[in-house]
Amino acid sequence: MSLSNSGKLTYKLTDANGKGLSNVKISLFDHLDSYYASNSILIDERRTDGNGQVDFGDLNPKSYLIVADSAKVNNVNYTVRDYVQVTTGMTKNKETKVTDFSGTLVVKVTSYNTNQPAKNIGVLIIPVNNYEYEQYISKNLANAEFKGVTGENGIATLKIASGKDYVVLLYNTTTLSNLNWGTTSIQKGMTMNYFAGFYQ
Amino acid sequence: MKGYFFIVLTLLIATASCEKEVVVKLAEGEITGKLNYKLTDDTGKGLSGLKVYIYNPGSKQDPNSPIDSAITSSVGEVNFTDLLPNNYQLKTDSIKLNNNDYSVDEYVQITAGIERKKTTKVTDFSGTLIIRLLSYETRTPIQDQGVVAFPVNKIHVTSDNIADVVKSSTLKGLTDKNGYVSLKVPANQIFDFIVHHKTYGNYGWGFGSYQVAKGKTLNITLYSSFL
Repeated sequence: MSLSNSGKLTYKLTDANGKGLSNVKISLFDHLDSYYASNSILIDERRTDGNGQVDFGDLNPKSYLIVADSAKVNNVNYTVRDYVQVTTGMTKNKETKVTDFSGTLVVKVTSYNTNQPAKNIGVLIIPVNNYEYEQYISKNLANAEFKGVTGENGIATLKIASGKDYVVLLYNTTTLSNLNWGTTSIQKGMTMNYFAGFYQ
Repeated sequence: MKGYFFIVLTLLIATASCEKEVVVKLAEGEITGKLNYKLTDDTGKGLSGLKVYIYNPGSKQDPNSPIDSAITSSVGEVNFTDLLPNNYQLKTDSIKLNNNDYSVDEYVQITAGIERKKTTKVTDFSGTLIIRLLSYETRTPIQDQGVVAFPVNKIHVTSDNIADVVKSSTLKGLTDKNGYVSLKVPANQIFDFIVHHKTYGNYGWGFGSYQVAKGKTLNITLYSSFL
């Protein structure tokens, strides 16, 4: 007979196909409320096993924040921030697809010379920390996590990782010259427009 | 009648005493948990004789006073018992390891009826400083210079002791061709840097105050004009 009021928690990270992601650090946060502030406090940290799962064992019944910031799928680092509730006497088994931590970025490019939508413009989405200005792109092409090209309407639609700071770089697909760059960040499940233009 | 009354009385007493015992066990099993906490060095060897403080940070009494403390045993362990289910904060005094001072500060959750076992490598309480050394005049990277991190609260650098500080430090490296050097330093401590020519000395210090949290990385650019 169990007399404890705790519950249990397991958490699994998978790629888009449901395959477990192993050896990813998962951090479990509770929060500490005081008169002045509510702070997240790290109470446990474990790495996923061969099946992509961690077992946090017994926990007091509460809501917890789960964070994983090194889950890699197709060379993209996704930022996972997930809430989970543990209840008395139950084992909560939660499974999360890391690629769900994405949003849709609609890049609309205009030529300032003609004031018309610009087609066939290359779009690179690069993590801010990896961006370095180049007049003609080469490193940035390698460091980009997502790539696209604008269509007839001057629009490129990209599904990008959410909760991360990115540089959006536009380039000429023939000369590889850097046309424009700016920064963006998107929330999970959100669709956002990004307007940009260039002189050429 | 007398005999019957006696039996009923005995049963009553037996029931009452049974109930009492069960109630006590219920309470014991239900409300508290235990913590077994171990501190180790890089190789996993237990560190003995260290004082560990346990705090109840959610307490409405005085969250800044420890509720208990204990000294690690010969295998590096302390045990705290009869803890109510809660989040607790564990801290140590500064711990000398590899000639550096580390401070442990972390949380653990205790659940009722369970002994939580937690092992912590003291040097995990480190962060990484990625330092880039550039020429003040030309803003170009300077290669092959020694960079030494020193804790400003512990070491007062002067022109007399600087060579010794450089020599005895374990927190040092040489810049690569892009001017970068990466140093793993104790977390949450304030560091300044000494920059020096690897052969000729030419020491310089006083680049500012920098600190990094556990497991985090801090990018720092230093400008040097004397080389």
